[in-house]
Amino acid sequence: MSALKVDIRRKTYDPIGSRQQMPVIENLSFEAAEAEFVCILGPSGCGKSTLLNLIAGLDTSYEGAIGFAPGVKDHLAYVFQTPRLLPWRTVAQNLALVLPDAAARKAHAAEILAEVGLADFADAFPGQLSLGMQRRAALARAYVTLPKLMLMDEPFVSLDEETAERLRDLLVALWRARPTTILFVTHDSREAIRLGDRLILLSASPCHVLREIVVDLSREQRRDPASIEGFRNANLPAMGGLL
Amino acid sequence: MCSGRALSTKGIDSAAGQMRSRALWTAVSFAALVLLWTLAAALIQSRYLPTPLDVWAAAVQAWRDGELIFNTGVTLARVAASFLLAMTIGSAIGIFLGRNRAADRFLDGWLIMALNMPALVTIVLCYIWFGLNEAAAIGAVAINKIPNVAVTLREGARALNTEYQQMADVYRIGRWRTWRHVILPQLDPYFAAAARSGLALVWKIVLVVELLGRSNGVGFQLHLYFQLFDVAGILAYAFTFIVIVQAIELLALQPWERYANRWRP
Repeated sequence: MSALKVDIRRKTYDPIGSRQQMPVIENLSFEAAEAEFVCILGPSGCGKSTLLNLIAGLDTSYEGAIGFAPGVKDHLAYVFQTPRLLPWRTVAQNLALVLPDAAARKAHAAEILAEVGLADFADAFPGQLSLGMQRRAALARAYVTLPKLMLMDEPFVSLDEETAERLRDLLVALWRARPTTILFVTHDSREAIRLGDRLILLSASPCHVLREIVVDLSREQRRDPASIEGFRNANLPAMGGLL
Repeated sequence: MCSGRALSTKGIDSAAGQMRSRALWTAVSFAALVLLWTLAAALIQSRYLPTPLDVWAAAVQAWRDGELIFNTGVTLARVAASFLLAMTIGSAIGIFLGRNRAADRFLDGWLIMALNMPALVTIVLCYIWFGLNEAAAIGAVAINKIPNVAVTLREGARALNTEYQQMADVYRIGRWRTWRHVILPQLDPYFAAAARSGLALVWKIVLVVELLGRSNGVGFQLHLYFQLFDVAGILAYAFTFIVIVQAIELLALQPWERYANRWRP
């Protein structure tokens, strides 16, 4: 059963100083199953972030329909491209903020913080952490709400490859321990193959779905760069120029 | 504060040393002022320029009579009441205007008019319309300060970060918690600016209000001394108030600002 059903006929925006409406998304539809890890792969500026904002309900002006399985819409988490932690609240307070129940806040937040390796930094302010640690905290904030759908907008950009790779491992571990539907937006095809059960390839703007590819590598195989490269060459040859 | 920031590389010893030398300079500078004043008073030899010692004696006398404490207390209560009133109403108006473009466009002209209304006009009109009473006095002071607070907080509300707002919306943290954890902390510097300039403005206007229509308080007392041409008395009250306002700045406003800024790296 699908957790999310996206069918956007048209999304436009008016650039400043122009009277003409620019189409960003046109006839884009796909579904995501419960607990599925879906990577949305598309060129920079094709409207991927706009798509996530529509699904998150941050932007409601579009033609089409976005359907959720019962309970999914109320249990949605979003890991933004920048960590967006409140700089005037400690890491623990940032996590507690998104939990509705006061009693659950402390214990649950501490547990997740330990899992992402930030147990010793619970009382630090985000400004005192490295970008990699801030991204861990943002991931912890998303997971602490036990979301049914998690939207991730290139959450590991501007990190060195080693740190990014560790965070990918962490994300997969969290996702396997607490299955949830993930929509992971990226422009890096290797990262997409590394993480996704399924890839959805988007065209340049105005974006629509070009192809869907099921990644049939095991989680262990994906830790080997050679097998990711092999899959990429076999399945995404035509995408070379685009991505 | 600024010395502390500039000194991070030199270590604690030199930071403490610099603070001591700064305190020393302040003391020297004030001593020089008192000395100059004493010399001028000795030179001019007029009852309209009392020596620092005369002023000190006048202050001690007023303290012993109890009138210094009473009048200063009454004035401070009026300052507190009108300050709180102006901060509350001014912030509410400012934040509303900063977040509502249509209302801002409509009310901007009113705000500019209010900003440029002479304090004296507001005071006189309040007394005429509402009578020579406490509510009119405090209201008049508050009305004078509200436009400044509103303009400052409007800037703050305009600069609110939409990314944090989106985060709050996605995670459904609710209205109250959005205000408390997301919006108000962003407005802190604007509250501090409004409070600081507000305190200085409010206490001066309170004196005018007291002079024009109250029978107690520092302003009323200054009026009495003015009729007697008692310059020592006038200066005794003035210095008392300067010391009190400086103490509020040092003991309340600055610690609060330090606390509000503790997260800044």
